Amino acid sequence: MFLERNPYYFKVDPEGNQLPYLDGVQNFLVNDLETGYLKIFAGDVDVEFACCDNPSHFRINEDVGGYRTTPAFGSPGFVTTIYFNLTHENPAVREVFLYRRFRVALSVAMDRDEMNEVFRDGLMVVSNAAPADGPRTTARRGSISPTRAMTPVWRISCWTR
Amino acid sequence: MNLKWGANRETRWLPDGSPAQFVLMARTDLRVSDVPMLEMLQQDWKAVGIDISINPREAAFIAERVAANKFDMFTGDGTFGGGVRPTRLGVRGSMVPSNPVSWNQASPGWTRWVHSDGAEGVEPPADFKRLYQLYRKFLLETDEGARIALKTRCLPFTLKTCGSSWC
Repeated sequence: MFLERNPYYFKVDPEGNQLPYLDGVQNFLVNDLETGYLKIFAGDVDVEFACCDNPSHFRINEDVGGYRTTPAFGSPGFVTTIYFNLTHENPAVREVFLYRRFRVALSVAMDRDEMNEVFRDGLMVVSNAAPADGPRTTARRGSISPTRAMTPVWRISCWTR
Repeated sequence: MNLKWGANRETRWLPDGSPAQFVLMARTDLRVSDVPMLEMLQQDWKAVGIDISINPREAAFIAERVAANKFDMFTGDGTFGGGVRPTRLGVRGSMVPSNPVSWNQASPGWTRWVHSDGAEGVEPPADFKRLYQLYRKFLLETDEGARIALKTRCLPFTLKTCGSSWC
């Protein structure tokens, strides 16, 4: 899919230059993430936002692909959150899932720090799936959560060529 | 977690006497590393007697199952009640029951109930109803300060009623 520059776009930059600067953007549609990553590694991509997979995978291929990897910080949402079906059709399962302490127990039982180290190069902020405090680039642990339960990883990072 | 262990001390039992075994649908379209990371989680939960099998799936499949209320648990990304934008609420991925077909909410029965005025779905607890009322007020509010205040009031309700693992 190719997005072509609109020469009649109404905005200009502070110097009066017509926007947008780019003549166009070519998007590659791929069937799966692995295929997309291979295109990055091969140097076929100019810019890519890769949310939260191990940055080391991208870094080790920088020389081959002729790109560079830089961290960036996006919306302080939470990733890989586990959602339980609180309206489960099976009454026994529903009763258990609705029991808040059951969910808290499972949350405490997971080793988020290890997950962060192994699968996110330790770069993520381990935190609640809860509102973040602070500005979007420095937001850390949610301040409202009543428990120490946390999601495995939290901060969105991206790597761009 | 208030569930008794089975005789083999490997899996806990649900109140109906069946083993605590669940299927976790894991999204494959977000990150390559999610499924192997969840396999680590699988071991953590196995140690406390909860047996999950991981079912890697793309978003469309999960959305279909959630809409049909045919699932145990799933993974997803999200923002908490609209993320960092204080005047925004109920975007996809939030805990607010903003949309009857939004699948990133773990209570499809409750969401259907509030959106159908009780004609469909499962009657939710009072907290969830209150959250939906606040959300409706939020939609009609045009003053920025009032929207922020309403959103602030929503957050404790979402903390109580959402279904993610931290609650």
